[in-house]
Amino acid sequence: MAGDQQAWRALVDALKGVAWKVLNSYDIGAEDRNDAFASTFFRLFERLDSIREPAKLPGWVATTARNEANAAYRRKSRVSVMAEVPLRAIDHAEPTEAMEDDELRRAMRAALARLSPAQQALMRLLSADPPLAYEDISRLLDIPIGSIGPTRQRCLQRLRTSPELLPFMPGGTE
Amino acid sequence: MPDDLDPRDREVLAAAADWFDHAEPIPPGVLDAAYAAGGMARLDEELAALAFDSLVAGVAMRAAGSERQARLISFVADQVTIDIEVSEDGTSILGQIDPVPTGEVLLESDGGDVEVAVDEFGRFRVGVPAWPARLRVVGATVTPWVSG
Repeated sequence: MAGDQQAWRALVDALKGVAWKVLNSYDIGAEDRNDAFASTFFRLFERLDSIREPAKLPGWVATTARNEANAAYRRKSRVSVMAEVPLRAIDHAEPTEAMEDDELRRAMRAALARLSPAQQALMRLLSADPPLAYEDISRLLDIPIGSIGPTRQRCLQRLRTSPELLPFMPGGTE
Repeated sequence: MPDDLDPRDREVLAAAADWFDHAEPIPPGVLDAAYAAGGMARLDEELAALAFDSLVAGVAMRAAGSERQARLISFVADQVTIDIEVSEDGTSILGQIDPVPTGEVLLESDGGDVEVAVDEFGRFRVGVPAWPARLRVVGATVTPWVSG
């Protein structure tokens, strides 16, 4: 039993980043996000014995997290049962605490703020660990699989050449 | 992180990943709730064991009064026995639970959880929205997943 609990914690640790990144991509309140995170793992625990391929776990967790975000959005907003939760923009405001004493992070926030919420979400999902398959990202963001690669390139280029990040790039200050 | 990126882009994506991790951290209490999801595992419910499966036994069973061949499965847990018959077209289950459950009975599948109405003899018939599915006698037992 103790071994089971340990194995479960290890599984949560392996998948928490994926669930959290997905939930942060949608425009639901912090409280709903926290609840949706917990319910995602409740559902995972309940369905654990039916997911036979470990490789499918990140995709399963991502889809479940999105469903939970949709459910929270529909509950709160009294919108149609088919309505899809909108994407969320990153917090533009500079944080009050000293979290961003790191210059690069401060620059990254300003650079990311130049992207659309959909582009921000793509960057966020692409930085998930373990990585999400393009197939999953395509479903999560409702974009064609074929557009992910080119959009990724455009976003990275925009970040790289933004006035905020340019000084941090090799040769960027020339 | 995708590995088909040129080094410059890889660096930018790594810096973005670092930013997301720091600017949008998982609150510790929230993570604890996810850890607890495993501990709150319906400790009162015991996984029922498969006692008989006509599919495995290799016997062709004929449902009474019909030409159809139905799959018959029995599960046993410490306190409960569940016998089910899966209709040939796989759309429904006919079954009996002994003793008659006092609490809720659910048919669980990816098609959603369906509440099962059980009669005074513990008998029930329920449509199956999707396979695999399993029966949960709340507070008593849950069967293994059955694929249709």
